[in-house]
Amino acid sequence: MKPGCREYHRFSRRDALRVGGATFFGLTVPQLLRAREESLAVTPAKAKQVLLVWMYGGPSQIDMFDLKPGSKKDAVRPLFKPIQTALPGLHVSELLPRMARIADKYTVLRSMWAGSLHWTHSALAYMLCGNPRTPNTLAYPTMGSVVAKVKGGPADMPNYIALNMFPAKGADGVPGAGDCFLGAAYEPLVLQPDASAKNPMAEMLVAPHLDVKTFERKTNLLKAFDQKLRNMDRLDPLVEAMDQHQQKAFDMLRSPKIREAFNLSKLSPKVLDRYGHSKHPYGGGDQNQSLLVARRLIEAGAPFVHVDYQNWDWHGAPENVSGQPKLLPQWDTGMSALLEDMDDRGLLENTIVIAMGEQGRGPLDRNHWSGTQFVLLAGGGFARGRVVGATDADGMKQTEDECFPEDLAATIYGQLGIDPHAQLMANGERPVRIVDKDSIKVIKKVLA
Amino acid sequence: MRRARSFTHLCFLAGPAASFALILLAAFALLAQEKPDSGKSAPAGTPAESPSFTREVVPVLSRLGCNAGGSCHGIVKGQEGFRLSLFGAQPADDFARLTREFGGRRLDSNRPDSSLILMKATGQVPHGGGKRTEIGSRDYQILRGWIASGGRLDDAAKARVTRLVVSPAELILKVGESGRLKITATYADGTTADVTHLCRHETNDAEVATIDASGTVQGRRVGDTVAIIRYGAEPVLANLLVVPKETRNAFPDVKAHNFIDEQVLAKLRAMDLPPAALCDDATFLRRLYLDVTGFLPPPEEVRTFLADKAADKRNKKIDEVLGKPGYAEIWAAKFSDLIKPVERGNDGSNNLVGGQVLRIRFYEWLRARLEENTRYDQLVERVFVSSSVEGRPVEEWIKEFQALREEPTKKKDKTPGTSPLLSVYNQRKTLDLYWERDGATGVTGAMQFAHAFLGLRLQCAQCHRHPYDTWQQDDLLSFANFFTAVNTGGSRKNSPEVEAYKEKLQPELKAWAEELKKLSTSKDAADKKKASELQAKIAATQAPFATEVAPLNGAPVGSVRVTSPLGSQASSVTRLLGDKAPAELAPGQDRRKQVMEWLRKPDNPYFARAIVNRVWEHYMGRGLVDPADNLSPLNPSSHPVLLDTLSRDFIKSGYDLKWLHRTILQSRTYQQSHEAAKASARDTRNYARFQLRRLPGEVILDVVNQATGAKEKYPATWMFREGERAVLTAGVMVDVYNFYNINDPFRYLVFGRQLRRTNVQCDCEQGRDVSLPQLLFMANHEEVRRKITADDGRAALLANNDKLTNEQRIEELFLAALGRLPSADELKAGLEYVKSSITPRKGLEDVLWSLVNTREFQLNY
Repeated sequence: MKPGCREYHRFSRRDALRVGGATFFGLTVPQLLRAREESLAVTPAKAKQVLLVWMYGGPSQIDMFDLKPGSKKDAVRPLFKPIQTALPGLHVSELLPRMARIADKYTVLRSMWAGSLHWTHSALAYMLCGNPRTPNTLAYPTMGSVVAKVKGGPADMPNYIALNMFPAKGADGVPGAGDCFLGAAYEPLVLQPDASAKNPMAEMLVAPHLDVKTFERKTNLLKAFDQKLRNMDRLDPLVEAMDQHQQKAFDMLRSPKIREAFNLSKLSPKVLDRYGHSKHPYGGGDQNQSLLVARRLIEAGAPFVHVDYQNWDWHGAPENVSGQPKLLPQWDTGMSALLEDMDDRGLLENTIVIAMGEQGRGPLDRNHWSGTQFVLLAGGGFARGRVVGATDADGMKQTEDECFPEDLAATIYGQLGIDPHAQLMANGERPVRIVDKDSIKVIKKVLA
Repeated sequence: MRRARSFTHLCFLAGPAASFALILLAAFALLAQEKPDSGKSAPAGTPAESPSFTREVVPVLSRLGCNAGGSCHGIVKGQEGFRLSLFGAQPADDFARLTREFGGRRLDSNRPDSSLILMKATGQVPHGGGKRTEIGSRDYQILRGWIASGGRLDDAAKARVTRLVVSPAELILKVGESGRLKITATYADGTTADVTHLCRHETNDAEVATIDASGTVQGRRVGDTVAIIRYGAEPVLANLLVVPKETRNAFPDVKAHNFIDEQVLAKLRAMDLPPAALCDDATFLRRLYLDVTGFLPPPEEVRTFLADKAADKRNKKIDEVLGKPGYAEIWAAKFSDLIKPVERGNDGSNNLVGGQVLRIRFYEWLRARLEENTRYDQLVERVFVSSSVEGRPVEEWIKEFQALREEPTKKKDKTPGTSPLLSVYNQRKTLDLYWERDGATGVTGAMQFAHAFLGLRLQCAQCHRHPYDTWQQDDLLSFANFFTAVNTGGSRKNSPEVEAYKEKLQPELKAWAEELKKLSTSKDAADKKKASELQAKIAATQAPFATEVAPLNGAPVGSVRVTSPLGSQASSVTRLLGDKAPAELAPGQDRRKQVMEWLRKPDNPYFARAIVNRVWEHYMGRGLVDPADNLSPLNPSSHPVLLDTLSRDFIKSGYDLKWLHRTILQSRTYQQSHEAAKASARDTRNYARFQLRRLPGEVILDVVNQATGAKEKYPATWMFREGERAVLTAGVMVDVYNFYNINDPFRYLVFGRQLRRTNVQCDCEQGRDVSLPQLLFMANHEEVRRKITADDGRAALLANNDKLTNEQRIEELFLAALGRLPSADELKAGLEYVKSSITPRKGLEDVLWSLVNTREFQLNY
């Protein structure tokens, strides 16, 4: 009766097309006025951009970065052999040799949870938004939407890009992360990493035929024709969204930046192989090549890139035993290549890299478990080579530095120079704090 | 300072609020929620010395939110080891869990204040749900009193709520005023009680009005909303209308075109919201064409309409446009949105019966009925009470079957327009394909039907009662038993008529079988050929029987069953939605006819209203009940009397759909400008202006073709000829699972085309929002580029026509794309552009590109 996880994938895939693509910030006079009000939120930033690797389904913390080989319970001990990493004291699964070698580049946060065991899959939007989202709460924006709204980026880059797919719509008790109260203008633009002619989105954006000079002339003519239905008082959200999307579309078409970021054809096979390959199970592109495209988009100035890296939704130990040997080495290759590559290029100075899912794996049965999970953090002022937080002998409960999605979001916003208690206008009328909780704590230990 | 005016006080009021209140008269009666009465009422129940568990304690747990879903104890698994029934629907279960689980530590009658539930609720010990009440509060005293008196369970049957009434049912307040609601419960034992302080109180829009725990409402901002009040699991609602302190805005002197406007204007007046002016003629014509036919008005018609000086030219035009084929094409697509011809298919399972041809027939059958303007009740009857044989001689059906079989071979016909090959199925009286869709029978069938024809969402009732709806699981299951008596799908049996016909064929079939046996042993080539021909003949003769849709008249059928996390359930009775008593099932009767009879009752609360509300939403951008597929008693209309009147008159008209369309189109409300009066700019639910909307998915492709003069091309598997309208493809299944890699689906899905698969029951499926990919599509998709620059496209043809000046060419492009002539400035800009282009044709193509990229082109305004 309840297709559950499968239903969720189906909806999000279908709705991937429906969502918008964030626009850049400040155009009309009222917008500028609003901008001033919101600019209060921005303080000097230690980081400028974000690359989020979204591991939906619940990667197993007790088989990856929080191993419990000493547990008295057979079922808790790691499924695969622990190996020593470059960071003294940190052991990871033998399926992650490359991540082990570069463990001095990132921080492992072990003490994250959503604060109640009832979350599991439904924490998807909670993790991405830093606010608990249920059908009864406001449709809080994801961190990417907030960044797109408050900070924005270069006019000719989408402010919020999702590669492969984006979980916009929810189903069966899993609230979607899309349709946020900031409006369609701040939803991510969903793109596929392979910019082949078969990909319509890429075909439109890459546009090799485009003569920029003629295009400029045409758009001026359009301006002369498009005097009707202007939204002077910004009261019609439809017209506002249309204007903003069109402006952004034209800016992107005029600029070569995005075309180049997606064009991997000039790269040597060596570079492509360094990132490795992994098939997206729900119709997205090559997940590892997505990481390469994401790096190139960050280099081109994209403020927030979300990479959908599937699929960690294993139920029970047998699925983990058969699934991990396939997926973990792929992720290990891609993730380590991304961190090393970004470090070599100096991109970790200003870019926060996050890898996380919405839950962990139950220590005893390796089924859905929201009691404990890990978050990987690097760059943008986060510490290099550190383990923060601890869980008990069976990985069931936090014993040190317990923290929540709100705290993580506040820490990330802090690095970006965004005051997490600054207010956004929900639905144009109601002020809501970016992280809508009184007591939030910045997780200082994960910062350099 | 209580100056609330309940409805009964209104007759002493003068001014707009009073006149609006009169309009609400009829609505008043609808608002008290009647529960089926048990009949005999017992004398007064237990005196309230110690609080009653069922009447007070459980409602307090609801009021404090303990038994809510989400992150509270009402979810199926409970929370932190403690589970309550959702909203307290099962008091006896709740009692057992409170008293017996957890070693009885939840309650302590010796030291009641130390009871765990009180410690948790008051936040004295850590509680995931936080602090719910204060020590010593009224709620606290009730819980404490009950625990102290020994914590007993009283008779739940006697305490069943038979009637819950809120008074006043309509509260009108000025901004800043407050007023009180009183809630009275009547129980199965005949007792009544004021339960205001035991209810949970909420308003739908806290910016318009707020309500506190004692039922006191505060008017905050001009607007209307509802208070939803829940006593235990029983909900009831009151309409709240907040009017301005004083009328500040000049109300223009506008004339109502018909009763629609009278209702709309009265409410606007009461709320001090001046309406917009009438739109201009060019806007009206474009709006009318797009909404009714999904096309732009032809250029020559724009010119003549603008020049026409007749006073009644708009009404004449409405009749004329409603008579165009586009009307039936658009509404066949709309009905395909509702009774979906596409099955889930995409996940690889159960790929649709018969495939593409059947889906096209399905659409075409609907189109033909709309073209004939079949009475709506008959249309639904011919869809729902359908069968293959339709009471005709079986031979006729067999002949039809064979004719249908030969149809697809004719698809090479290249003539555009509606395929002649589809005329056989069109002429059938009933749409038996309805029953061939996935999940057309049983519980899913009932949900599909309720969504399509009753405007109800019953999905939640599969497992439990939805918090904001009235349907119980038993309502759905009993209704679903009507949907079991149709023979369809894999294990179908034939109707008695067809069985008799088969019987008659037996001797012949037997003879053929014997001949085949003889031939099969022969080695002669001629015999082999004969054998295979004979084999085909046998197969063709038997083929119809496996496709027959027939009612199981009178044959016993089992009850439907649902399995949810709460277990597996069935209902042993067959009952119509909202009826108290089970239906009587006469032997030999087609159960579906009983449903039809119920739909046709003039007081059926859903059937006429559902279609009236959907047609209204199509033209006005927002349903009188919004969302349009949620006619729940707990989702009230913004204009209840208007909806009732329109529905009643629609029935009176003989369920005449064209009457309904015409009446709405003729209203001033439809013909308003999109530019609101300043004071009404924020209004979204009172029709103070025409609501802007993006053109729907298939329509936008059609108008791009119309403006550019291009012909749409379809993938071969779609079986559509070049140049046919995109709207006609409403039945085509688009493979969403591959849409990332295929261009064709992208072009249809980017603008929110519905998938029309049976497993999604929601009007929300068709997205009407604006997205960046859509703007990119218009600006730079290769499909649009190709159409603008085609050699036989509009721009090229105009450029090649030597008889025209550039001025005329630009005017033609404006008329074709925007349905209006260019202004002087626009013409000047266009002329300069064309002059400075490499060739006039290149210049005109860019003019056309600019026109299709305007807001004006992509919106209906």
